[in-house]
Amino acid sequence: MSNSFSSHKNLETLPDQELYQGLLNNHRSSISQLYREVYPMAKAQLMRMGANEEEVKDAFQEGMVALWKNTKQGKFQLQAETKMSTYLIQICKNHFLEKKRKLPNTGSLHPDQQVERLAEDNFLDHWFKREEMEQLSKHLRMLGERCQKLLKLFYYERESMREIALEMNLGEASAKNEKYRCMQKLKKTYDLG
Amino acid sequence: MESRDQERIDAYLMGKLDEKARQAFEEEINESPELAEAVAQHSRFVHGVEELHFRELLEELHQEGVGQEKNGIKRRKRWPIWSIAAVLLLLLGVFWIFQPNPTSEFSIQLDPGLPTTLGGTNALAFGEGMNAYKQDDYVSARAYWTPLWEAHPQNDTLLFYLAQVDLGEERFQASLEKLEQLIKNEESGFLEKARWYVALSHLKLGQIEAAKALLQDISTRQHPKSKEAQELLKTIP
Repeated sequence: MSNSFSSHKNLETLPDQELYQGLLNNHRSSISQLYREVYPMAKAQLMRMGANEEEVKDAFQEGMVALWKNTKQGKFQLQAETKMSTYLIQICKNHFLEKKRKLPNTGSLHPDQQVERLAEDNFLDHWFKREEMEQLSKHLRMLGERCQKLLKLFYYERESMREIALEMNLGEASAKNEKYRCMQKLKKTYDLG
Repeated sequence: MESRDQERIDAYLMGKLDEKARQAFEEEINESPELAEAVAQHSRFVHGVEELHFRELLEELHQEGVGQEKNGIKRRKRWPIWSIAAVLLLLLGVFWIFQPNPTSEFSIQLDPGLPTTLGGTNALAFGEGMNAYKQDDYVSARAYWTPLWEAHPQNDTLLFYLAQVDLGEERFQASLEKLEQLIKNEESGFLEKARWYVALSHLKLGQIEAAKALLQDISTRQHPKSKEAQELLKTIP
């Protein structure tokens, strides 16, 4: 497959079930495939609605984040008659329209609103708001490369502590301790900051 | 929070507990407001770290895609002038060789489409396809409608509009196959419209006799396209 954003004519060959599982498990290949395949179609539709390149990128990435969160929270379930691309594009369009109209509480599908509403329903679904993510990013960078790598491997790549220990040339117990200390440090600096 | 607590919460949040252990942990959460608070707080940071890396990946993918698109344009710009001239000459040759048959020169007026309303998931996809169709975005319309049609192969509305998409893309053999399937159903609300477009597809494919037979039938009876059929017949030798 080409590395550039390819034509959405290939959409019919996308195995949605595999993409769904890939999203659940943060698999780069699935996320990458979804991005490359759906972006051109979303771009065409958003531009017809008056979006510029930057707005297309913003709406698409927020749409991807919302799809990813909804998949993990079980809010988005695969159905035989609904393609993942259709759902994703609809979220992107809603995001763009709401941002354009500056109507924060219209009750439609804005990703942040969905997430915040869901957070009220389930205490496990607390997420940082978008503006808080920048702060978190800053504090994560302040932890240093080693901590960043360890937390990424464990929480994002979903590697086991044994795999991480091997990769970082540590004993398993040491890896666990280091991961604990990194997370505690992140929480502390974030709360202080 | 102790290291051991964090490990347990991680295992719970990341779905690594079996059903029995998960239920036991949830009971513990229900009985301990302190544990519930610790889980909620830790969950927020776990999600935060995960989301940051997800967003980083999106940015990386975007840059890769945009970079490739730009490189593609540069490559095209570096084509030497003689290759552009060669392509133009080739296109000119093709144009002369494939001069269309006079009977297939007419343009097809596609069906204006249906009004779109929001409804369930299928209606949403159908409506999105209809919006795309009305804006002549046949590729998107096909992408929306094909999965619906595969799930509902007897749906004559989807079949009719997919045939319109084929016509819009000048895929006349494909449109003919769909429309011929449609006119087998004498009770379809799209029957008469479909007959008209079958005739036009035949004409575009150079199947003059089949087109004439249908157009004569349409022109001699009460049909919404009878006048157009009469006019078209005059242009066919």
